[in-house]
Amino acid sequence: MSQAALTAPTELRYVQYHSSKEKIYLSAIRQLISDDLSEPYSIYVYRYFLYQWGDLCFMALDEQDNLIGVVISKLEPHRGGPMRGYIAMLAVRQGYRGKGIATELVRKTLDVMIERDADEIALETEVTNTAAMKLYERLGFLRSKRLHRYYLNGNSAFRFMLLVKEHPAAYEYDDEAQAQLPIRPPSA
Amino acid sequence: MADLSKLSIAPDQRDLRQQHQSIAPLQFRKKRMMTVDITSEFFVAASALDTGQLVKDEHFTLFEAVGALEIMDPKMDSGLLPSGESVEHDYDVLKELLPGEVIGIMDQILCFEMTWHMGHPLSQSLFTSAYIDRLLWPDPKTLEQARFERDKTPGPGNELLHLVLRAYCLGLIKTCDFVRRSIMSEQYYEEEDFVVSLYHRKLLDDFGLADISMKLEDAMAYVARKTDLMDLPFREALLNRLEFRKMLLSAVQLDGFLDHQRARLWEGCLELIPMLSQTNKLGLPSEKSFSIKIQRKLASSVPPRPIVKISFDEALARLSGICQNGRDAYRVLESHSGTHLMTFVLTYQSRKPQPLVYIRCLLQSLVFSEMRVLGTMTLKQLLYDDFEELVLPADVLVDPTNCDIEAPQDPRFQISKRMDAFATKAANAEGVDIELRVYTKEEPIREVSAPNKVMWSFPLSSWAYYYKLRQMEWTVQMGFELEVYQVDELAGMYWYLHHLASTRLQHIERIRTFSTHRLKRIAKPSFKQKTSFRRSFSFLDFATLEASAIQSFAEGLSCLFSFLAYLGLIPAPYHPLPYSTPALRYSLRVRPFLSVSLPEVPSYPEFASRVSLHTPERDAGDPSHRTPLTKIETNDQASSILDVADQALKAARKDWESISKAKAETARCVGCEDWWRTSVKNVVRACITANIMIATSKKAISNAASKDVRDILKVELVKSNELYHAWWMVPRISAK
Ligand SMILES: CC(C)(COP(=O)(O)OP(=O)(O)OC[C@H]1O[C@@H](n2cnc3c(N)ncnc32)[C@H](O)[C@@H]1OP(=O)(O)O)[C@@H](O)C(=O)NCCC(=O)NCCS
Repeated sequence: MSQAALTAPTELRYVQYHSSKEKIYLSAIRQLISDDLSEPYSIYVYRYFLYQWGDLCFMALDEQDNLIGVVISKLEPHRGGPMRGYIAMLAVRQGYRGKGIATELVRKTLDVMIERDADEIALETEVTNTAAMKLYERLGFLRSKRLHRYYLNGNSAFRFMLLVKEHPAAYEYDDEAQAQLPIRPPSA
Repeated sequence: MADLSKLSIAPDQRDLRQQHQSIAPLQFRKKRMMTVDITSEFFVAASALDTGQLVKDEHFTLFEAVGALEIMDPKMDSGLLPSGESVEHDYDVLKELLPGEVIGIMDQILCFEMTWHMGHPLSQSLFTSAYIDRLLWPDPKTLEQARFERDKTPGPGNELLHLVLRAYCLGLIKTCDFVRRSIMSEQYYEEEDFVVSLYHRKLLDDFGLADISMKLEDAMAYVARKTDLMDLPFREALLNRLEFRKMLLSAVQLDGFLDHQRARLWEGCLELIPMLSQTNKLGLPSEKSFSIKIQRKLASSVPPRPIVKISFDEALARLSGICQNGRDAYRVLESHSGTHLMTFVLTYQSRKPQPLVYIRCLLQSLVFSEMRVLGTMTLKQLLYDDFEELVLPADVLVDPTNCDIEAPQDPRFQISKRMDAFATKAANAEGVDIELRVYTKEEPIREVSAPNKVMWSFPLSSWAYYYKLRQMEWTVQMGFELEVYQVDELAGMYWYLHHLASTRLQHIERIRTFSTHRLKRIAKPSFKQKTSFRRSFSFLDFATLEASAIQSFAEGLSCLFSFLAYLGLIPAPYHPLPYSTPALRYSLRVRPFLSVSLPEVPSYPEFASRVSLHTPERDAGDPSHRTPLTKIETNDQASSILDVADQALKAARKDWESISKAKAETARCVGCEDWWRTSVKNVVRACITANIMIATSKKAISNAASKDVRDILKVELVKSNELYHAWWMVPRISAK
């Protein structure tokens, strides 16, 4: 598909996370994600995802096992309706960007979600984050709405959605009412 | 939770922890609380868990996880002080101030006031000022207590501080109180647009406007009198600021008066702003008088956050915006029917830059408060008037005397009962329509050819359906403005807009048929009846023109984007992508409309056939892979799409030009005529540009005798804020 995906460095390994790996990788994951945040997440946020949905988290590691990129997600019924996957965090180390690493990480998490019967997949990204928007759009996500002043810094977000299945029953629930807390605060 | 090192109680920070602990028990003792050290038990319990293992009940949601704080993390722990730093902000608020310093402080807190209006919390703006802090804490029981010396007996002298700066601060705080209360009494985007939190402080809400105005007047009298104290420019600068404060305070007061007097106060504020701007340079900075440390005294769980700073120029620009919009909001009172009011609200709210929350709430309160619309009409009057204008001219259903009838056997009694039910619940319009026609003795329309086929007018359902269609059009159009649609969706979304507008056109025709039918059956219409019918037909005529203008422009753009996709100059509509199919993306896009049973959302196959989704796949955007387009292929297919676009856009231009010439009364824009005209003029410009783009494309095709058209044409999509009108995304097409 994309140019980026084709030129992904071959020496990287893509590894699924597991709680047994917390000691080795968690602080590196936190560091990588925090680099682009103005407000840090407490450790609870990471454990909230990793403890419950470790299998949806993928890491890109180089030959020395340094963490180059990570994606963290969850999958659960959305307000009693469809099974909704949610990509919570995604980051690739500076200097390694634009090589298709994030695309590969996202594809891996999507594949597991779909295998685990996801009906739809959602995420948010800042309206100015061109790289992230391009990445998700190329995979088939649509912008479903603009979230006004979603982040602490006052910036707006787009909610991106990917429908995996047609599921008329899910149309009944109200996607709009509940304000969700931004999982990804703004970059500084 | 295991792995306590992650909780940041690292050995090197032990001394800080002790410092922290030594304060805490003292505070607890005051409240007669018993504290027990559970550190060792906690360690034992925690050691039973593996690293990364989470103890969490099912009510611990992502929301809580995000809200959780880590003790001893400087960005999360509000009690953590870097060693050597003091808790208290040590600034002497009683020190004598130079006139320049007073001006500097006044201008600084004005900046804070504006950042608060812009959506930042008071804790990061006004409440970081030592002066404001001293006036508001401890909570003053009388206005006299709200002074800088607090318990001390005020000494003589230092009037610039005790009289002048204090009056200014009191005026500003009271202004914030009015602003906050008026916002809280209306609908707004909580949290996102405005932070109401006061952190357990009060904004002088117990004290009245008159007392605080008096303080401002006393201060003005003092400055005017003390000719020996300072140079004229300083005196004038101070007087202007005090006068401005007094004026703004009166402009925002909450006395429920809806009249143009208030607009004059806003105008008065506006006139003073240039003076504030010119004399800002006399101010001396007073950086030390505000500090984020004051946040620690507020009832808040988060660590001190940075002060949000804006320049004085930006603050004045915001302030001018508030004053202008405040003044203009009162023009809504000129709207004399629901249709005019609707145009006003839409036009006013879409002005750029967008009016701030306070202003939007001000408009809401003018439109509707204390059960009155625009201070005069009841909701029922407004609704009935709108029914009459759209679907029921001079009809017995909207006769206001119906509700005076008390005899149940009188049909008007029954009508009144049912109309009320509809107006309050807005539900089951069709059921009410069917019941009502018994009492109105409605004569259905019968076709001459098939007399058994009867058509009923269904007035209330018609009215509701009209607005439903209108809202769906707006929803789709907002998507263009907010850049929600991707490039490959534009052809489809403009087709959908075209589809909605043409559905509305048919619906307007249906309404017109029934009104005409009813008018014919009135033997000798009275003057009043004639006037009512004339007004309704004028509305229907204008709505027809407007819907047709939207329909054609949307059709033209849909075809233009299809043409560009056909050539491979932009991605094909809903082209296949790795994790998605075109049909799934279409389903997602129309999802918000699926619960609206009528009009039905077009099925995917129908939609696809309309949007030229049969566009051959040509690896859009990737010139090395594409198959060459022969001239013949281009002429036959692309040209025919272009021809349809051409016709539609020519019609659109004609329609939009007619709209731009409509009288304010016809266009239902009394009160906002100037803004409305500007907006229509921009649509006309967009439409003319679209026509030029078609001409450019046609020329390129006819010149492309042997060449591939794609090597001749260049397309650029224009960002929403650079368009003539955000709803009409005319692309820039040029010959290479
Ligand atoms: C977003 C992020 C994860 C992308 O990582 P990545 O490995 O560079 O992504 P990929 O290489 O897979 O794809 C990115 C695409 O965006 C493009 N891109 C990158 N920066 C861009 C820019 N400023 N403008 C336009 N396109 C851009 C890349 O060229 C690439 O597209 P291509 O394949 O057509 O060349 C990375 O930039 C990042 O870590 N950012 C900070 C954290 C963040 O924003 N996370 C996303 C939150 S939802």
